[in-house]
Amino acid sequence: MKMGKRILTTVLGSILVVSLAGCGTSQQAQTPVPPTATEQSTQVSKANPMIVDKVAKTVKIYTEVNAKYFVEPTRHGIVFKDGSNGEKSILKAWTNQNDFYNGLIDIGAKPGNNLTLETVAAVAGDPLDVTITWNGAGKQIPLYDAIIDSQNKKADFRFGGNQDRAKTIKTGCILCLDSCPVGITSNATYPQKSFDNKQVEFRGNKAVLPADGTPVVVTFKLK
Amino acid sequence: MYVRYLKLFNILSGALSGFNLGFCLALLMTQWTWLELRFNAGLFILLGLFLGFVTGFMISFKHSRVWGGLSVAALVLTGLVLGQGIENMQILLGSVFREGLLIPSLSLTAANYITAGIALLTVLVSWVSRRLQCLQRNKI
Repeated sequence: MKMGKRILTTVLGSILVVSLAGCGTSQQAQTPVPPTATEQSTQVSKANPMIVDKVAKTVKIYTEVNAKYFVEPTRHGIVFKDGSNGEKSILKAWTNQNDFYNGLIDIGAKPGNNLTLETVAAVAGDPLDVTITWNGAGKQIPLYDAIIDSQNKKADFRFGGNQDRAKTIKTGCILCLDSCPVGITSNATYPQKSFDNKQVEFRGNKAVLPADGTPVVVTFKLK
Repeated sequence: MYVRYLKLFNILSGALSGFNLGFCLALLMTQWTWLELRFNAGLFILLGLFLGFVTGFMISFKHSRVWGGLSVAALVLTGLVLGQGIENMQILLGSVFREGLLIPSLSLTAANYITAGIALLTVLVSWVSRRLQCLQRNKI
């Protein structure tokens, strides 16, 4: 009996070590190549987390993958890392929601500002193309290709605005996956509270996204 | 002679078992989406560690090996069942660990190695704790 217990604990311990240690390579974050001084002004990075291009009408931001939401559902697509929801999104941003709002204003985007905390409606505002890329991706990929939407609908990202609430509530929300009265941008395909009412679920698509911690550049382009 | 070490290992055993059981609770709490998106469910790990420490301080575990083994088994099984496989279990355990211990920059690999190390340490400390109890009893 005693020997049985010892064997059981040894076997369980071994299973845990082998199974957990086995994730070394697959989940290892890719180390970004440090940019040169000239590249720093044109490339987003941790040190330079947002670039606004008024001519191309784009805002590019630096983010990193949070693999937790490959497994768990979330309504948060991109959130500023130091916001109260900083650990609750698929992509963790290094620029804050207020600077990002100003960036969209700078490229001429107009906010919808049509939602309150009580309304159940779709977000309004100028439509945006949202794409992602990373070292080794070799191309721009639509953000929504990297999201598993339980209803398989297409995204309609809008500049919702919500600057006052974003400043007050400080969630850090930059892009929400259903219509949101706090997020700077959100998805008009799903009315507010769709996620809360369990009408839809979102997860990161690990078949598309790179490993946890990998830097990803998100480009918002005014349509 | 053994008494001093017995107390130390009893506290350690309690704290480590508490850590594992708190981790289980944290994993279960992440399944409640409403709570998970509003609260750091990983904090249950620290709560378990604290309660285990206090319990180990106040109570002498008679079956520390059983508690240690069960807490590790519960953690492994909870991770496997909730993750529905080893790959997702690694992501789930690593991400809940780093969030709960408030180290968001920790890689999943490092988090998983630490978790595995703590699990092995739990088994080892529980075993030593039990041996010390036996030695103490024989001495009396």
